[in-house]
Amino acid sequence: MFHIFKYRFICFIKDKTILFWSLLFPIGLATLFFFAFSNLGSESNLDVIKVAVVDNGNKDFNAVVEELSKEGDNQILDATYTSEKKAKKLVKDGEVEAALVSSDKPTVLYRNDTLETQILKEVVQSYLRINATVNTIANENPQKMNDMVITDLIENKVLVKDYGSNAGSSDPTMQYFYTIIAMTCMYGGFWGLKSISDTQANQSDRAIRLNIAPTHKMKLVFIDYLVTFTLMVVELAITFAYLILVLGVDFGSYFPQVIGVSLCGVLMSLGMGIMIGCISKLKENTNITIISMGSLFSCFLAGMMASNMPYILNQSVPFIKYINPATLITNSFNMLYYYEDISPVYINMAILVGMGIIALIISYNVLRRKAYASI
Amino acid sequence: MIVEIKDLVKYYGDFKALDHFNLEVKDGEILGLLGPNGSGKTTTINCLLALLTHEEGTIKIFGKDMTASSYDIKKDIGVVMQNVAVFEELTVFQNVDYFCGLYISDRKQCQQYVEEALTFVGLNDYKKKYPKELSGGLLRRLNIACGIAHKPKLIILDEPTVAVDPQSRNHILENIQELNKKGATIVYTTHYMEEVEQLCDRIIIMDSGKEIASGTKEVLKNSIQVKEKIKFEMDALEDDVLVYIKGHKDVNDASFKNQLLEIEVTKNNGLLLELLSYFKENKIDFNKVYSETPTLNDVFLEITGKELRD
Ligand SMILES: Nc1ncnc2c1ncn2[C@@H]1O[C@H](COP(=O)(O)OP(=O)(O)OP(=O)(O)O)[C@@H](O)[C@H]1O
Ligand SMILES: [Mg+2]
Repeated sequence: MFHIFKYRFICFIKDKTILFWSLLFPIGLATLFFFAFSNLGSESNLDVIKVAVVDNGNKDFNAVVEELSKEGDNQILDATYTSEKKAKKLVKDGEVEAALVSSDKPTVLYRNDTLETQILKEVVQSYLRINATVNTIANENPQKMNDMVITDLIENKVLVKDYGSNAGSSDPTMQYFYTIIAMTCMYGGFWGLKSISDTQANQSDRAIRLNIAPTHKMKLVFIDYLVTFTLMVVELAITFAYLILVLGVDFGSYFPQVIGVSLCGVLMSLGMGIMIGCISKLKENTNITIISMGSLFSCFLAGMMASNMPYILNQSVPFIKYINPATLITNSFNMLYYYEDISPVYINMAILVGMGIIALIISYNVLRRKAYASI
Repeated sequence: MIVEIKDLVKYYGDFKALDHFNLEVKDGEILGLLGPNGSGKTTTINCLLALLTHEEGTIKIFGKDMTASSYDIKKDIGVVMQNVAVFEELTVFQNVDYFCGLYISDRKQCQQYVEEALTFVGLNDYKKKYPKELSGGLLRRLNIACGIAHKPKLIILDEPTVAVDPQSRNHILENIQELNKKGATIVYTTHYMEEVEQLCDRIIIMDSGKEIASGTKEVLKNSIQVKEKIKFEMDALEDDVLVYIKGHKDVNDASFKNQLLEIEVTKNNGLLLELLSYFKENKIDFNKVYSETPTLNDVFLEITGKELRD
């Protein structure tokens, strides 16, 4: 048993292609993100910005604007409430920097792209970002929502004073780094796929040899599962260490849960890889492409290329956040960062594990057919 | 009986690859399964090993029904597949150790078996090399070592010498004979008739998924009409001589083409001397004469009307 584990480990770890995609690529991408976004949110000590506010009925956002307009260290807005038409004129005449339209999806109207309008957009983004992940709470407890936006703005250094919160200092680009971890988890699918192509006699010659050996095929698949899980734990450890220690990404104060979510993600992706290996009749390279494209797409939906993606999707297709693995992972990270009640995270973890288990059950039904109609 | 295949029928989709095929392998023999490309040798082996499903027929190994989960049977079988199947990521030693370890749970014994197998196939100097660093012939030997390291009672080799140079081929054939001497029963498939003639106690010739003949090579060769081929190299031949030869009671057929007179003889011995004296009497000149005993190819040719190898 151990000797099989040992040799399988050697076989897996020598697969440079998979190692590249599941380890070096995410780390490289994270580094790229780090440099691309490092100049975001670095300004502080701002003057109060004159804005026109059009109240189109978004109470949550109104509360945020009100909070930011309070005199004191954190005042960044000097708000004038007005109609949309008038606001546009004010912007055009240069009376105000910009206008904030407080509708369901708040927007910023502005003439020139300045540092101030940038900050206003940041405020709206921050609101949208938090609203997307915690909108259930927002409905029940608008004050909490408000606090979180303020906290977010402080962390983004839009506001200067520390309100004191659960989280430490952070960066507006966290969402991107969260998707990096999600992607690392998703690429576990490659390992799962490889383990099957090495054990299914109709997929490779060496698998034929394993199939004629007096070792139960399920045992071989199980050992491969242990090997690949171990590998993923190591890869995640390296990726986390790099993100936290080198790039300074903050995962908040529920780190054990963050790890837990990632491991559930691994169980999901290994299961998916194994399932694709079992049910797909396509060539191995095609299967690899399916997994890499699928993973990337899943991360795209979770906001890897555009951080407001989850927000947009949550508006139009809210169930996506329960079925897209990468969204499940990044949303969990966000919740672990912003929430005090983290119980929804456990639901996400359960969904991920559930997906992994379903994939394994489907695979089992293919694998237990031990003789093949054609090799 | 070590192996007993009865009335095996195997379809790939609509294509009938095996058609009521029978095979028996006796304890301690080397059985040759000879057939041209695509005749169903590999299919037979894969069915025998329960890798492939089959539509009809029974398969027994060591007297027990063979199924995909007959692990007690599998542990006594060693297989050398037609395609080299080794792990590129593992060294020569690790490869053999990995596969042998699937059969032998005692680690010490396993390592010893691996050493023995590597010595046996002559790969001792290559233990730490990776498969891609081996030549084609050495790779085949590694493939064999992986299949036989656990000292199986029944060894199945599917064309282990395909694309192998003569030196490695002889090495491999000697290995197989030695394994047999040590007590292993062997099933050997090939489309090289020379190999089965050299190696096998008994031969089954198959074509299009069917057995077309079986027996020892002597029995097989005796079973056909043509027992001898006599060839004369000569510049010219008169038609009435050819007619005379064709009319002889021991001659199956005769032809003269490209200054070569070929005579198929149906009886052993005798005719050559008779012809020589006939030529001398009639002052018929020839340059060279030689006589050939039939090969398994002739057996195949006579039964199927086509050559064993194209
Ligand atoms: N997976 C498959 N699907 C469909 N047909 C197949 C398959 N494998 C083999 N065949 C066909 O079945 C027949 C027997 O093939 P098989 O591989 O058993 O021949 P073989 O005697 O081993 O030939 P060779 O000497 O070339 O190895 C061939 O006609 C082949 O084309
Ligand atoms: Mg074959």
